[in-house]
Amino acid sequence: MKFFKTIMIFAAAVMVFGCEQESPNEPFGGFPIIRTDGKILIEDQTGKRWDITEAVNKYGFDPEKFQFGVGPNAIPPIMNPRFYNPGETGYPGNGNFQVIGYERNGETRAYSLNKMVSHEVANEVFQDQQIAVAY
Amino acid sequence: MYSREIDGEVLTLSASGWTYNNTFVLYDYETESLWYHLQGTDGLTCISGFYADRKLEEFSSVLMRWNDWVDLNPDSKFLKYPQ
Repeated sequence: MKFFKTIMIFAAAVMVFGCEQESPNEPFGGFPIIRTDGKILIEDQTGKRWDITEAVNKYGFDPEKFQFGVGPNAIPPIMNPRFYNPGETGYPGNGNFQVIGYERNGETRAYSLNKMVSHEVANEVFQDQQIAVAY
Repeated sequence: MYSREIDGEVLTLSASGWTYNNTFVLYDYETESLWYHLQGTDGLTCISGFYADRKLEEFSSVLMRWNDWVDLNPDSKFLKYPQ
């Protein structure tokens, strides 16, 4: 019975998540849009207002289509990460998981995609280049 | 993967909490400009704020299975997480 309950909770979670993906405009749109002094601002869930004037006027963004608005601190970036070298404890063996891989002057690095999902961005230096890895 | 250098400054990029067309809208800590990967273009375009209309260069990266990646790149480093 306990097992059955667990399955039901999981199924419910999948259904809710599925609905989010099927109709992304509801209920995640409808944020306050403030038009003042020729500026267009949009207010997120934390009350922070973002100036989207150029996005709308120059790039044709529709203010109604900005979604989630969970605030700038909800998804913190990874900062200056460290890396495992081959052979080091913690370095993955065989695995079918997805990675973001990149190369510069013969040096290669890989990020597990499931780690990037909860951070979206990693800020780092790769050799002499300041880079941001984004998913 | 993008450069985060512009005019000799180094930006710190982060998720703004917004998405648009199912794509994250990024912002930088330094100026709170908004950055977005416009469809059909390379790099990140500043769509609003101090760096409006400027671009951050894109560098190539791939999305693939670890097994395939490490076969091709046996010397590859791997992200340590948590730090």
